[in-house]
Amino acid sequence: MPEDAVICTNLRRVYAGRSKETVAIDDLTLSIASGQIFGLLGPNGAGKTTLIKVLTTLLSPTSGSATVAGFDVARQGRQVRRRIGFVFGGDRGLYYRLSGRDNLLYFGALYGLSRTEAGDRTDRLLGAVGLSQHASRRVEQYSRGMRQRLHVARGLLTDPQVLFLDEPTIGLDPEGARELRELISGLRAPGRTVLLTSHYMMDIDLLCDRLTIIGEGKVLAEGTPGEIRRQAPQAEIIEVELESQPAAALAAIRELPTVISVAIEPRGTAFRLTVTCESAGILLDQVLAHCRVESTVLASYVRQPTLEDSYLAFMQGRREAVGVPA
Amino acid sequence: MTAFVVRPVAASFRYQLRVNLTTLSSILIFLATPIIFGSVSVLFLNSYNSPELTTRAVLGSGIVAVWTTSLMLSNITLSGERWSGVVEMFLATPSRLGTMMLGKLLANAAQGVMAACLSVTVVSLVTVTTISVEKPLLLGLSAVIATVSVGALAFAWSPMLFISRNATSVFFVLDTSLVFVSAVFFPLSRLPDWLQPISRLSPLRWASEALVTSADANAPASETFEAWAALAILGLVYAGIGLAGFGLLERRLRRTGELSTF
Repeated sequence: MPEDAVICTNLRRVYAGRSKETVAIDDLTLSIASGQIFGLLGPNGAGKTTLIKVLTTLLSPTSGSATVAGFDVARQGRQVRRRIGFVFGGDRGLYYRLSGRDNLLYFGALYGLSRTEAGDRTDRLLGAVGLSQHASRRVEQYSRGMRQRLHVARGLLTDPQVLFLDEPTIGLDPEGARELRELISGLRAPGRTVLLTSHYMMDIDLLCDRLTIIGEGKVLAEGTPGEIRRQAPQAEIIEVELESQPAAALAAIRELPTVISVAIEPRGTAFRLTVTCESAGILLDQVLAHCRVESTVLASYVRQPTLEDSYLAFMQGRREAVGVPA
Repeated sequence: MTAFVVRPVAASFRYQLRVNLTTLSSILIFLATPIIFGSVSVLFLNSYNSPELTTRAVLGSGIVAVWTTSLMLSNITLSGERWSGVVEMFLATPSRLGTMMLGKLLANAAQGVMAACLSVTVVSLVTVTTISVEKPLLLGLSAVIATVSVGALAFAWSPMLFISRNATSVFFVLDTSLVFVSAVFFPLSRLPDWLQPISRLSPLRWASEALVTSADANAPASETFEAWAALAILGLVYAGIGLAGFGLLERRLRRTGELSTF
């Protein structure tokens, strides 16, 4: 087992259309160390799913190279597929007319497992994902969360060295998403690498050791969630709860030194003013002073940026760099 | 070999059959095919007065039931699984797409055998016709060989169902044309001379010969064995075409990403 479970070097994938080509992955270089839970973040169309498909050999790269578990995805596809598990979000990709157990047994056979081996693993995995009691029920009778857990069990059938999870919590209610997050966090095992994509920052923040933000097929930032937060252009965020919406104050606050952005949104019967700035320090008093001219301040606090703040700042910076309005 | 050929084929056969028997559209095909081709058989029977022709017409409805059921179920299976995202999951496993599909197509052919039994029973009951089976073992073996060979033909056609949605429409033309060209309900000599060589490429024609000569006490065994040989050769050729077709298809899908459904 190499130290890096996934290595991409100058990877490029182009979709050829009838009238134009679309570059989904553009000269991407990335390495993921073995044993990590690694997150991939990016907006729709950033190339996350294409990257996962290339790494799982569902798509061949146009140029560049990628290895998974030490094998080249383009030239040693079957070797790669023997060592990986693949779970995608949503409730498709299952046989609804078969039971959960039969779904796993069938895919066990496709992974080359004997009936005894597949049976043992199926029973163990159904227990691990909390579906033992529903093993004999048809999948069409499962809830969305149960189907998603069945997907995870299927992804683990071969005890994979690298597990790919593409938007696993998509479409789940908060409780189902939390259960699945707990399940994923329990997937840590010696030598096992998990590559996770998600639109939900909480998934990435809570689960991942490291992450990469990609946009337009390129790596924009990489590091631990803490490092990403520190890499973001802003340093602190002032939040003020107000009784009514100020008008003139907003313009005045925008002109204060070190202010990066100002936003206000309704919160129930009140309003929340969010000021992103380089340093809250002395600015907090000035912001409150402006607010009190027009409204009553209910509460105020300064917080560190979340991963979501950092991600949005990266995307904003990217848009400004290419001249696209926010 | 065992891990990535035998197990995927066997499991695909087993679970496809289970899915078919619990899916309404598959059950409807299983029930409708014998009625349709049983009716065709009855039309021919009304003008026949020899035991050989009667046997041909009755068993012919069974052969066509196997072929049509295999083809129609394959159409439903493959297009359904493509759009439900299951095929994409297949491509993420180490097994080859062709080996999985071979198992599924053989399961569909096996369900075709059930439709064939129903068809022959329907025709016999409606027309109060009985056919005497003098060599039941030979007939049974002929039925197995014929089913595998006819299933292989459906398998060879199946990769087309992934490439073009029009393949579904074309298959109706293929289905009925092949039944006619194969001279299943009538003797080969009644086909136009120029069509007779073409019918030699059809497993349906040889399936008819194998079954009719197996049932006929006066037919020499060599005629049955000749039909078996033709069925075996055609079965291997069409299975090979199917495997090669799925191999090309798999490479194409990985290259183009056309299969993307999520």
